[in-house]
Amino acid sequence: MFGLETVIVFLAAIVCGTISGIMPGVGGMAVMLMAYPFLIEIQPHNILIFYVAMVSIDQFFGGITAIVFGVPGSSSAVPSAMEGHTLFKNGKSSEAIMFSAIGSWFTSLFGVLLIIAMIPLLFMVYKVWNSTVQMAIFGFTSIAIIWISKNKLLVSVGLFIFGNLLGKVGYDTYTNDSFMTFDTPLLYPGLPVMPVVTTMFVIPLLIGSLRKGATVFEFPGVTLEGYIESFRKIKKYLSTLVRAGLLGSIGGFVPGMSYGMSSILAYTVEKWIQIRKGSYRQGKGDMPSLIASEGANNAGTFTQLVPLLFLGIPITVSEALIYNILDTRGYPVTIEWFQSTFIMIIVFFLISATIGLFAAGRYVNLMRVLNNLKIKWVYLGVVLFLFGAIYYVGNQTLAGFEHLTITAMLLPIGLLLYRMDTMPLIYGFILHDKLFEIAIRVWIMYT
Amino acid sequence: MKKTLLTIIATLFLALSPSISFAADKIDVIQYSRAGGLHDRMITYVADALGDQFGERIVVDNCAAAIQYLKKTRKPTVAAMAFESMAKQNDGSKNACAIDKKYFMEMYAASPWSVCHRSDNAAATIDALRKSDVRVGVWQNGFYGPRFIKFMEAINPNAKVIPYKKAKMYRAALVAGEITFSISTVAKDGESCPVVLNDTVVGDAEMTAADLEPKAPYSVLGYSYFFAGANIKGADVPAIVFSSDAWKNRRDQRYDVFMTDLSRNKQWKALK
Repeated sequence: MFGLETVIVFLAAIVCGTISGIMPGVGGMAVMLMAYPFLIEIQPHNILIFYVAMVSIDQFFGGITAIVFGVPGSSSAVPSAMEGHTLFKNGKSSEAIMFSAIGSWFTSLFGVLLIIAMIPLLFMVYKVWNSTVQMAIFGFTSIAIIWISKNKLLVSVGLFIFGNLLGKVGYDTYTNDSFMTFDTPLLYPGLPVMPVVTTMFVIPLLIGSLRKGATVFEFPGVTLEGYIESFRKIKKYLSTLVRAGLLGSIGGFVPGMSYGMSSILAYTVEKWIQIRKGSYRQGKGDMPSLIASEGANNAGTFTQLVPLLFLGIPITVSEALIYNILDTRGYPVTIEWFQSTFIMIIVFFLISATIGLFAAGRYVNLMRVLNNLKIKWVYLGVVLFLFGAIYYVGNQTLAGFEHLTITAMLLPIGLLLYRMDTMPLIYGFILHDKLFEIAIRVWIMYT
Repeated sequence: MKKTLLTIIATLFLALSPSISFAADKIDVIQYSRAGGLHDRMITYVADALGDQFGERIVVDNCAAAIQYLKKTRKPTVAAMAFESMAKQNDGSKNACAIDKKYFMEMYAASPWSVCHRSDNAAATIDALRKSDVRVGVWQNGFYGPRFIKFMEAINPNAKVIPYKKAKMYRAALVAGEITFSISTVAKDGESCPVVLNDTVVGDAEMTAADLEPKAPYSVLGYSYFFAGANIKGADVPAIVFSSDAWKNRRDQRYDVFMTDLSRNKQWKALK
């Protein structure tokens, strides 16, 4: 069953996961599409190995980009960028990176163990996962994210609504209506994620960050000794890890939630707990909240495979691509196949998580070349890189200038928001579709 | 150092310019819907049928972005567009996904909708569909959604029509027991589709919708695709697809060619 092909596939997955983690906006799906011609040729179990290894590595590297530069590679890394980069600016860079990486490794293991323990009960879980439960979770997260924001309540509500409105721009096939397109073809496809996250989250965060904390880039790096020390100290975050592992795992395997959402949920819950304990200090960065967000992400990367392998239901677009490949090639995704591949997937997932833990540490030390550079130049470089990435991603569909135009249109608004916590806006933008869909469904069911 | 920088800039420029990798005889295929779904499979049949002539898969966010891409590209490109994209928007304006005639190539495939349920759900009977307080999951779509509601109101006024944006969501809802029936064009493993919205019984259907309720509106209703393309010269893409093994061995056998007996002009009129 294992051979040279498995080794090559695994190494390719490590490379692809690194690329998608480091490069904001590239994402796992884009890398999967680039690897598509390769994936359709390999054995089905190797397709799964590729996927789990790539997603796992992606999470480790994505977390580092978020912490060091304040740039979330995906929507699930938005909380990490917020807390992690603030910790970075406050001189806790190495700690933030090592604790979040080790925490992520533990929650990866947690996710695996939880699924092993729950196999006999999985069908029961799917039975209770209905629209009402989904609405309760999405509703709770929306309210909590508004409540715990550092803004005044009304401001957060306003930002949340504004985020929803931005998400609604464009032609909607589900309603057969256009919203705020002003009959401009530029806006028919809707606002792309990267310009919105860059202008409404990254730029306000970086400007706000420029005004406080260190003025030069200082990163002492991470060491093996530091990792060992952090391993010893991680037990003080045990309750955080259990909460993040649980929320991340559950979020991973339920359709309609995904680990991105569970990461936001775990972050929100943890921040709320820390605020209640009185240990959350606004503007200083919070380690437990960072660990929760990063940990939930990693726990969900494994558990999200369960609905695909157990029920034949892909719950993310990347999984749908895998399902499509397996289906096209005539490999039935059945419970029997799930059982035959389960152990193998666990082994490769844990190996890749361990590689991610240490490889990410090696990568992050390369950032020391920026040491002693004025932080405003580093931020300028980050912003220019993001503009380049926006153009590049847009240009893949011949819409590079359109995406830059949208960025330019949104930029003044983003600049005005630098004093605010724009998480409610981003949350509203990213999840508006799902929130409205479930809300409509629940409304119809109970009226 | 200067040389290295110039090399990096040149490499980046090449990477950023898709048109430079232009290959005249390759045909790109646009994917505007989620991977793994029906639309994805429909364009995969096209890509497979094209074989060596297949260029690359262009993934865009939605059908409006697909149209914008078709208008701008200089490369031979084909898309499988859904029929309802030609319908006017609710406010009477032109649909953002509608194409101009010059991009219309030919009709592609169509399949009737069916009422389906989990095969192991003993409560999902025809009698329950007609009389009980059942929940029926449908695709939340601006064109089909209102039609499904009217259809179900005629079949069973007690039924509640629950909209889902993605098929995977109502498949999960069927498993969870949140809904008893779904209206779908493709049955998955473990599902049966006893009623078909067609003028004749097809597939595993036991009856047509008209057999169930003769007065039901939209009792003949299907989902269909047509080929749209730009810059395609010297290649009859529909003919290549329909004669290919990829099409003959397609998973979605319920989707079949339609209107092929009509001329392109008549097909366009029907589409409009």
